[in-house]
Amino acid sequence: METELAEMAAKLAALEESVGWTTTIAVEAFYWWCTGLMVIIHAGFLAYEMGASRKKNVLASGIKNILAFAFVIPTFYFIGWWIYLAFPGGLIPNFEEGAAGLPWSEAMGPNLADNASGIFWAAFTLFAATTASIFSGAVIERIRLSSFIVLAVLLGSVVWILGASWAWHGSGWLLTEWGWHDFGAAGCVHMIAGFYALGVLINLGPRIGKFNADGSANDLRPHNMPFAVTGLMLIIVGFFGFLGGCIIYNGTGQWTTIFGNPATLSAIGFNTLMCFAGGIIMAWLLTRDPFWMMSGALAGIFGAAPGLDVYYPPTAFLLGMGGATAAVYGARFIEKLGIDDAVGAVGVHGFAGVFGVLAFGLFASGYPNGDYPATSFLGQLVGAGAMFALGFIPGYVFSKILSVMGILRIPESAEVLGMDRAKVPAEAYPEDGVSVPA
Amino acid sequence: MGSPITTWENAQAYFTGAGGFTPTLFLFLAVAAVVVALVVGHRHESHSYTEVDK
Repeated sequence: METELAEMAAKLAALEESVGWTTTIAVEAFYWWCTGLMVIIHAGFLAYEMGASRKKNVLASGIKNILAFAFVIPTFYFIGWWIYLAFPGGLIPNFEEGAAGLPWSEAMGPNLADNASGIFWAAFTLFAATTASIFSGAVIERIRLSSFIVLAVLLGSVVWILGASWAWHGSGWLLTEWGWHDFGAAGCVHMIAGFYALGVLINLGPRIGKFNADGSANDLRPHNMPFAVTGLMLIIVGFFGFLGGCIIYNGTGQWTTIFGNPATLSAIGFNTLMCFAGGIIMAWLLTRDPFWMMSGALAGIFGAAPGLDVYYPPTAFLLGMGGATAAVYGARFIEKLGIDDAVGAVGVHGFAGVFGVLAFGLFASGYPNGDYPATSFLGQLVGAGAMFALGFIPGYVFSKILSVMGILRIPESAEVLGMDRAKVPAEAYPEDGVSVPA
Repeated sequence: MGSPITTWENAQAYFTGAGGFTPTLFLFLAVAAVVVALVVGHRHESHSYTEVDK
């Protein structure tokens, strides 16, 4: 009898260990594949940005986009993860909490006792690169590459992740003090990237030929609309990885959000597709333009992103329409101000992001947050203000410094000639006579 | 440099040089490489644009 009991106890212990490992590996594998899917976002941004450029700048735009990704990765390793862990309380770092994110920490490399740090770092690195790519599209065809890289690193490895520490962290002050809720990062990713781009665009100025002397705007058309539209659809594909990375796989119980409330992937499945569709349909109604239809799809997702975990699906559909409306009219508004946003990034990410954050306050107030304040419109308003300021101010200030130094924008001669012919040792369309002077 | 462990039994942080001096050295080299790449890129860019103006 004792022998049988001992055997059963040994089997139970082995079973427990096996289940524990299965859980650990499953969590790790889930975020691995989310990260892989998020790389598709960058394939999409690359196609979109090159397609949106004119022929004479197509490779320079591609180089800029690829390098944003490449420079954000190591810099996010050097400093980004530490910022995320150290700053949930505001602007004063918590060195004890942040220690695990320092690049010399034992958690920041292969470690058999830690199956979490690397995979979460990777997922957040892809979020970081996404913010840099959002900014990248807005400034094509006239920004200096080296200055762009500095600004992209500042956004991807410092600014947005500080916003994530405030607005996308279980101890972030916006949650603990205001009951902020933003499941899909409409604030810390999209608002910050969109308004950071706006701050830079003000100092960068429009492309030559964009505006006439009377202030009216010319349409500097994408050289390859099908490529740009396909790129936008690829971004949508990648967003399923992005949104998967927004939910916490606990392994032994129900999914939760970063804010601690229970959630299901089913909820995200319902609402993501509904707001995606709403965004396309609304943008089609407003513009009839396939470029804006697919941009509307993105804006539709951002319009409902904060509440993808809780919305009734038809509400998400309508909020998708609202996000697309905010994007289209937002883009038209800034163009009327004489600001040249080549791909509508400020409208799609900034304005639709604000819409989404505030709409959550209107339509989803009152959800409990444990010991923290429940969700409310005021909490969303405070968070929206913080995200706007955190995006716009650094973008404006640092691009102003680069502008004063005379290194923000390429020379007029190179802009007229085309950036590809000026500095790229390759041709996009060699049989076609590329680099047509403006 | 090299393996910081002599057995996989109870191993935790096992990346090359863990617990020693070399990871810090490689960290500084990596930071320097990023900065140098940026500076070289900036100089190439400036040179290219100067050539356009000639």
